Amino acid sequence: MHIPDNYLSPSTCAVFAAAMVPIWYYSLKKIKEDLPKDKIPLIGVGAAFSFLLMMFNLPIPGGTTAHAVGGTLIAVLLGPYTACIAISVALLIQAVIFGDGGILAFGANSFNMAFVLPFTGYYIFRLIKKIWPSPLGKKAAIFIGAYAGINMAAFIAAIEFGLQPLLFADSMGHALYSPYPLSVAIPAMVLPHILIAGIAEAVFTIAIYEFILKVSPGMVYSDQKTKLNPVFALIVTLIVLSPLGLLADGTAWGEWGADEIAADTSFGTTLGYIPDKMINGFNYEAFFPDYTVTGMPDLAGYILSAVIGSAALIIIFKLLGNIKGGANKTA
Amino acid sequence: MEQIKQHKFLLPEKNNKLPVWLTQNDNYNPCRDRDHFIDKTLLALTGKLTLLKNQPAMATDSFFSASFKLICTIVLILLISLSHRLMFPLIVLAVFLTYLACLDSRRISSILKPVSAAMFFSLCIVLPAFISGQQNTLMLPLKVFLTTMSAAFLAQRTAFSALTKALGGLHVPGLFIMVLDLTLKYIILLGNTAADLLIALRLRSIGKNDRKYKSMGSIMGMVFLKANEYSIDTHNAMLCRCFTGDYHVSQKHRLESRYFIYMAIILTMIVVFLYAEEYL
Amino acid sequence: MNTLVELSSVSYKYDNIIALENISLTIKEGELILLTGPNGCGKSTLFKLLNGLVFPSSGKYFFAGQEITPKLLKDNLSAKKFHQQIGYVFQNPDLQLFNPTVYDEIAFGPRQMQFDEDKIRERTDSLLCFLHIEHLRDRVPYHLSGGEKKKVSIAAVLALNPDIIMMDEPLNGLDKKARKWVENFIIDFSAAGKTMLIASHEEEIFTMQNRRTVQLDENHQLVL
Repeated sequence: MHIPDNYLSPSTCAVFAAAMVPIWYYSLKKIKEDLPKDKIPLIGVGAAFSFLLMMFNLPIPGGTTAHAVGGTLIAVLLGPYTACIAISVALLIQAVIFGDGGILAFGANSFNMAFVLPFTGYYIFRLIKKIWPSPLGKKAAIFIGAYAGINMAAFIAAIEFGLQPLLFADSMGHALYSPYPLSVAIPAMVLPHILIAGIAEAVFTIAIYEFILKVSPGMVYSDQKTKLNPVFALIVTLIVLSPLGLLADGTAWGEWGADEIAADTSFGTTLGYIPDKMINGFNYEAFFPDYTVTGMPDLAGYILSAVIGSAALIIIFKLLGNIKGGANKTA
Repeated sequence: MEQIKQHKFLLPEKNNKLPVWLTQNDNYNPCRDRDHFIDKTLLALTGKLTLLKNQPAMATDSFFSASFKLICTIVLILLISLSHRLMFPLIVLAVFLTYLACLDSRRISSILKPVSAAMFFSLCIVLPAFISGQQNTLMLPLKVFLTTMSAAFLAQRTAFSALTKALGGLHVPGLFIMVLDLTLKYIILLGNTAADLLIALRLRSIGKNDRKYKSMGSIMGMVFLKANEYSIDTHNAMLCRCFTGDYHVSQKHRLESRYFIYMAIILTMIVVFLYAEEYL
Repeated sequence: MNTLVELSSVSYKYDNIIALENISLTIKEGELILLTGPNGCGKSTLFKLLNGLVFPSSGKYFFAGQEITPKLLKDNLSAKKFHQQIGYVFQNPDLQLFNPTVYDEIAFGPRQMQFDEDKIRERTDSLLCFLHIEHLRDRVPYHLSGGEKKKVSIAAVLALNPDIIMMDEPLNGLDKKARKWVENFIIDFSAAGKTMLIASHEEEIFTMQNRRTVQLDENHQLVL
């Protein structure tokens, strides 16, 4: 579920980063109130734990594996606010050191996995536990919470994807970022989670939770303080929905951009896009537009392709040499 | 004499005999099971841990400061993401490939492997759109290739501790930076714990495990308990060293002449972008 | 006596750092081998290699006559058979125990071997009795003392009924009483004819027993 850069427009990323700022601020405030003042190590430990959780491969039917996310578990173990900060830190480290998830998309990824996921999971867990206060009810609560959390996060991610072609297209109506509309993005993201990944996540969550409960029940976050507050739940829902509203407003921005581009004649042919080429079907020039058409000087184009070509060749030879050398070493 | 006495006390004569089955060979024939997921997790874990452990060895006193590299990478990713035409990504590609060609082959493959994986993944994603006629969607894999490579360059050339320091220079709260530094330390500690537990599970996975999720859950449960121990220990250690809740990131703020070079580089990037996008 | 382990001129390098250099070692059935050497000489790496967790950069490793290669261990069945034959007791039992009760911990191996519940119980209980830890049966391994954890991890490994027991620094971090217990266990178990490989930086243990000592030196080479 880690969204890399370029799938979302920079403005979408900016909107989500902006949405996360008050969430992070509020979470930190709540942690300070909630936890004993100097329990900062717990956040670091929670972040490291979250980072490791996301590396776990789980066996799923069909012989392949699914990745765990574990947001609901961390929310249930450490409380939703600590979970929010801890998962955000884990996501930041993944993006900056390991390139898992984009750097610009960090806000959007945090929104999905550090906010929507743990809070949805946690509040559903609390709700079911309240209605059904038996041990079995608790088990059902954590299962359904984890399942709902990851599916909700996948759903929000799908909306983020699906809005891209609606909002950001060039003068030809071509998508600039993720090309699939909501009607494709939502089923493509949500179905695998509903059918497989969500169940794997829920079973894994329950397995960890039960182990900890059996071994050291005192370590689970005691939730006496945070009350299930309907007003707060409403605010959470609104926060979830507000970036969507902002994005919807952004339609005007997107169209303004397209108009502006269309008004400029020099942009009309920028992609070397000629309708009859499309009629002819697959055409090399159409998807790697000929740079001479774009108005760039021929020379620059040739130099550029020469540089790219020769650098690529050097890299290939070096890699080939490495494979050969490596084979000698291991033999 | 005393030794023998104690010996008898601990393993008394009547029970000293091995259980019979331990003296015989089981002639055990294992049955097949799908436990590839253990290896896969272990591989992902150890790969990332090695990378983190090698981090401190990186040179920190390069001409370009960590904060410059961070800002530069973010600006570059932003520009790539904003570009609507092929020219700017191609220029970046040329620069990147030239730089890559200067590195040794091990570095090249360590950068190219994850980067090409990300590119092929995005290629698979946009392929249906491409086939259905949205031909410029192939820009997406190219851009993904370039942005993941910029991130990889940043990670390869800069130690994370230098980056967190750089964040301090950018006025990110000290508490947050402290959490980042602690997290990194714990990832290595807890990661090793998780890796060892996974090895223990693997070595004893000698047949069919009907409780795979239970085993994996127990491992992560153990890691959580360990995590709690570490957190309490660190907290106590901090108290002992008079930690007051403030975390100061030492920073020197001096306007150096190299900052003008930094500015020039970033400005050049932006000008090239504007030119390639034909805004100029 | 059959040869169980045979290393012929094995070297192991990672990132161009030498961890093991030209090691040749043969372990026959029923032997008790004490592997000594200073910290960082490669004892742990040798254990990893013997357990098929890493593979020689050069040289060959045979276990029970079969060469251990990445290709062999890629095969699910061969790997499982190989791991069943070696019982590896970790230096730190905290990193080896992951089940919610001591009983589950010991029964983990037999359960995988597809025994029926009666046989699993019989094996587990006989081990609990043999190692005098019946009273720990339903306790949580995580909350046990260091010495008790060590006993449980030994029991968990014995439950696989391996052909050779490898113990990495078995006396580390134990109090006097627990140390004595582990020493006596090794002596008794070896006296019963079981093959054992013990790594320790203390050379003066088990001197009363007829044991063979091999030493790894600072250059990661074996001194016989």
